[in-house]
Amino acid sequence: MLMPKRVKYRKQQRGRMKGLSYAGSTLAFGEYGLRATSPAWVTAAQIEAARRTITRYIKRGGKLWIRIFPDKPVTKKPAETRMGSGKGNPEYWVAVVRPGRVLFELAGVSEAVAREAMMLASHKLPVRTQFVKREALPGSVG
Amino acid sequence: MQRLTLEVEARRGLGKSAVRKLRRVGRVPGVLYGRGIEPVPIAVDVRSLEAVLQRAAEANVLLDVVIRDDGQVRTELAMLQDVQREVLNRRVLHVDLHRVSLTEKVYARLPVRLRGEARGVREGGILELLRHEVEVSGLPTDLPDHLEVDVSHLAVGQSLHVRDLRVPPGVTVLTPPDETLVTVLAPGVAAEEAGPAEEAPAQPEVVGKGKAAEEEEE
Repeated sequence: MLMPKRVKYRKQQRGRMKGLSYAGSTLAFGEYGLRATSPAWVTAAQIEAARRTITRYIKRGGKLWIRIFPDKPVTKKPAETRMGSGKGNPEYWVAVVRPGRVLFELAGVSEAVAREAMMLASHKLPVRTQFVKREALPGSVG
Repeated sequence: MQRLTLEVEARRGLGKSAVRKLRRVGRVPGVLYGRGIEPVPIAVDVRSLEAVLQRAAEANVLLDVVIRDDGQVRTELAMLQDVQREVLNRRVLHVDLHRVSLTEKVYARLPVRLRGEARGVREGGILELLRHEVEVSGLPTDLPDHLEVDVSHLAVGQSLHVRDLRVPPGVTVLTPPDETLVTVLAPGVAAEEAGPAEEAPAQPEVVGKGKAAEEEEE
């Protein structure tokens, strides 16, 4: 599963998920994508489950990009422990996803296949999502 | 290149309060600038703008911008420079129009369209378009709607580069010629790339000797 190779600190504060994701809100690599429309922490296991679903459905036919990375450690105290004695141990890793973030991108498959693969993947994720297609940008002039 | 007409009004209200009021009544704030003129803040009807944007999504367009300003009407020639959209519902928030001249070269980004089915794809490979757009310069009237590239002869492992593009006379490609445009990947390679890294250790290494390192020693 995805996790950082090296970190500066083992534990992090939780933070908040206010507002929209302006960074990473457009397709950068593929033709089709899956965009989050609600905020959530997406765990490494959920990302992996969604990735497997997509690769399985497209039968190795296309190319997949994962646009999120779980770089935030989440800690948990052991079961049946009294409160206190400091913060718990890092348990798993999450990616902080805000509305607007593109989660996955696909290329090399038909739209119908991409739509179905993304729909199946979205069932593995804790966020509401929408299917997106590449929008042609107007030519910038100067 | 298609030539369309866009009717706009010069707007007086600036700042977020004024532009929010504009958006509420179905108008989109924008700005027209370029070629030494003072930037003109404009407002445009959302429906006529969306109609232009739909055409612009398929091909580059040249706009005759009819500006109404206190009863006076003047026309400027412009191209779409930028469109800002809301992150989620993709509603147009703002539009930038760049004034151009038919006798001066402009820089533009042209979309790349693929023609034919690659031989490598029929053999099970995956066609990957690495550059969706290339930068070019030329007179506005010389610029084509898009650049087409024939991929039907591409086998697995072969690529086309920017230098392989055929551009009409008068148009210069500015994107470096060595950049890869499109490639056919072997199916195994694509699947491997999509796969996760090898099983990593349960915990990542902590960088530096600080509080974190001390904690680990406890």
